[in-house]
Amino acid sequence: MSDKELIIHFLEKAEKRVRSNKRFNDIAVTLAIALVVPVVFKLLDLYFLFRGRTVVAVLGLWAVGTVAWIFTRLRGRSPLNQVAGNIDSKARLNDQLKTAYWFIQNPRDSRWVDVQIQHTANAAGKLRLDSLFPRRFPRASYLAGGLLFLMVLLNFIPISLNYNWLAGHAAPPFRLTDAERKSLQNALKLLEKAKAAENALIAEQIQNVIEDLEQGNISQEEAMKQLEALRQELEEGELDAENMTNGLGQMAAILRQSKALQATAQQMSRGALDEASSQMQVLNARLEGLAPPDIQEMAEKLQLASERPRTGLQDLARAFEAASAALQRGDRSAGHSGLDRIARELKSLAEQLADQELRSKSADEIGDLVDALQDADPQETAGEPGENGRPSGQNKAGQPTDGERGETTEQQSGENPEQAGEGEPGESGEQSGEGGEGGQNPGGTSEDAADGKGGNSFGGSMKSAPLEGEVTALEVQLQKEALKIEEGLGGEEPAEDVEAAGERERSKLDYRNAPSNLTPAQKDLLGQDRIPWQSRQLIKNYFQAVKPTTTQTK
Amino acid sequence: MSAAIEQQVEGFQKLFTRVKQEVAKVIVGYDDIIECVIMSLLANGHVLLEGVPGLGKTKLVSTLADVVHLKFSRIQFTPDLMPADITGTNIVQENAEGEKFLQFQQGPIFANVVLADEINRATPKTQSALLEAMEEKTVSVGKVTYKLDPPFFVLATQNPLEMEGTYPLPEAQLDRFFMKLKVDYPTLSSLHTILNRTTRAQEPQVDRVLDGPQILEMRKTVKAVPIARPVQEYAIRIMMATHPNTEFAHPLTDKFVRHGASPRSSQAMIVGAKIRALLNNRVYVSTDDIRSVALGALRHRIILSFEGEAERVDPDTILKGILESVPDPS
Repeated sequence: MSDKELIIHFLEKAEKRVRSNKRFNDIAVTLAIALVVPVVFKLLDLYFLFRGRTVVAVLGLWAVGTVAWIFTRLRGRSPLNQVAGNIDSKARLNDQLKTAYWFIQNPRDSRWVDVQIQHTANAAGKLRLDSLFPRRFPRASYLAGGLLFLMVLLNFIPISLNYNWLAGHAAPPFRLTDAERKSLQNALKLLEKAKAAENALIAEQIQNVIEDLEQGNISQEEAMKQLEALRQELEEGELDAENMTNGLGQMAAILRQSKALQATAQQMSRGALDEASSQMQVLNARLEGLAPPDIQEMAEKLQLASERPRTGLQDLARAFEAASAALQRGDRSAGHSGLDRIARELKSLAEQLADQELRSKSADEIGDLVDALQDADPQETAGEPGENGRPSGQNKAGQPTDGERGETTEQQSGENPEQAGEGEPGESGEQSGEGGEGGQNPGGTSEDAADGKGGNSFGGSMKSAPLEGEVTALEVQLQKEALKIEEGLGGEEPAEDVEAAGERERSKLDYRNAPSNLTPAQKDLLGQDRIPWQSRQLIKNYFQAVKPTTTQTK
Repeated sequence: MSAAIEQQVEGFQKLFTRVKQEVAKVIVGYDDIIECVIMSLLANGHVLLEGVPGLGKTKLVSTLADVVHLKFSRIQFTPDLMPADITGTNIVQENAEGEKFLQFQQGPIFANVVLADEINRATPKTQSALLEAMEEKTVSVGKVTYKLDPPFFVLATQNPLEMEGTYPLPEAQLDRFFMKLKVDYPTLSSLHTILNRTTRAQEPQVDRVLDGPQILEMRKTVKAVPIARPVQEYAIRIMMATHPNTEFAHPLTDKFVRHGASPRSSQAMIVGAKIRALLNNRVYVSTDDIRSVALGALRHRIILSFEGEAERVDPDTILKGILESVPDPS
């Protein structure tokens, strides 16, 4: 190999080394700069929660841009004269290689030039590329590695709203708030507890709707529409629990007049139908030991209780009737069967009511969810421009009121339905217990009542609500007038509470069975509209002031 | 082939070093100046030494003349000095038959080493008497042109302090000097050595180590040193950077320079760089060589603008800025 070839070969080797080092450095520098983008993007994602489509688009563009940039940087080779100059400066050769390369490229007939090339070839032979251009990690690679580590770390931060992009996860197009999710879970739990087979299907449908909403397959409006339809479906098959409870109360009142049926009636009046069923079984077992008058009395009361049954209690009433008939006939065997049927009906009713309560609560939860979705501010979709729906990152703090409501409902769902009536005012569970106080929740105006259009505050149908006697009219017509309510007014007369008249004589009007088109959720809402404590005395004074005087009453 | 060249280079270095050592026996503390003066001699150029009186400028030249074994003459420039006093003149002679004829009487310029002491004291007319001799190496008197014996080497000195009664050298004259060297005060230790050597009974004697033919041979060696085009371009770029309002002009040039260096400056830089390369045992010229001679070759060739003069800008400052800014050739 001649001196010239030796120099060229050396320069080419050096060029390869320089190029590989430069490529490594360029890649590291490019990555160090480029990785800032996904890291910042990921940091933003922790707040804005970008959708998977957005993440893929941005990261895709970033990757393409980075690769293109690296590709353009890596293209081309360094000219050998540049490499020669580089080696000259590194090895302090005083332009020896550069000069030699120029003379090789521009040969001239000079002994001096030949000597110069010869000297340069000797010098090049002594040079070591590893010492001139050592292979080492560029500093930028540490930065790039750090950023990469940060990127991985950010993906694994254990925050509920952090999605691991590396695992292919990203924020769904729509995300329920914590409160909404809690409502949903409550509804699904309640449906799971309910035994009806159709509930499982409805629960699955609800889950599908939410899944579609979160995946962006359906719009928020469409989801609300579908959830509303499911909620109505839940309420459609709803028994009029209040009406049934009242009917059972009436039946219990009648049955209580029979000594043999007192225990059962007591449980029925308490609403403990399971216990009532057990008591009926006990009674059935000791039927042989009952005296004929007791049996006769029992048959009569059963017959009386079976009359005019309320909606949902027809089967029980038929069981009463059958048992009554059998007992009156003295057919002990049929009597046993009748009482057993009553026990089964009571048990079935208990299950139906429990199931209904769960469905009702579930429907309420779905209603809350729909309301929350409806209340969601569409202006808050800035995180996902052009998207119809709320970005999943918004309302991270949740809606505390919804959340609290969800918790309350959840707690109540675990309670014994019997205790529902003991709740504080405003709790949803009190509707069954306080439903009897129909005066506070009239189903319609007085005019409606007079026209027979008065609504039942418990949603019972008009046809199934038997009316007793003539329609009553209020003796006092409320008019707007200024009242002088003085201290001690009415004090001259014996103190009498507003409820005193009601206690003396119960109205025979079945005002509690007035039909109403209100849904249980609406009724629940109305039931919460209580008289504030601070106003109660004023209102009491008002009614005390406007009540008829004792002399007038007499 | 390689050995012959190397021998040639080695011989060059030896002679150069010997001359330098001999001169340094008398002149203390001015190694760089001595080196540049010898370089100018070998580059077939002339030197302008600038410095205050008493620094040994004249001594340096006379010592060099002694060392190189060349004919030496000294011209003390004064305002009343006439061109003929330098070049010589035709005088009337009478032969044995009593016939009168004109005969040319050579002036002090007819020497190998000419010391033009305090050159700026003479009138421009007299100063210009040197122009032809310095560039063409000839002297024209009347209709006759006389050729000067090679090597011809002019060393001029000038005092920068005394401006009264002086005539600054015209640009054309300055451009003919290969280098302009600034002679500063010697260091303390150098002064001790100077005093020790000059206040003794016997002054140091120098040997003649170089003669005219050897100088001419060394000049051939210098010219043989090859230079790659990128390095040559570097020298050109430096020169171009001294030209104001051009593509390559340095900002300082635009501000303070009226006229930049001539192409002679590039020649000076490259020849000087070649000598540097040989002295550094190299057979090619590097950019470092160019940089090392650039100041001496350029400082007297750039003409400051009014602003530069007013602000008393040192041309060396501009040149250093240029040397820092011009990139190495790729």
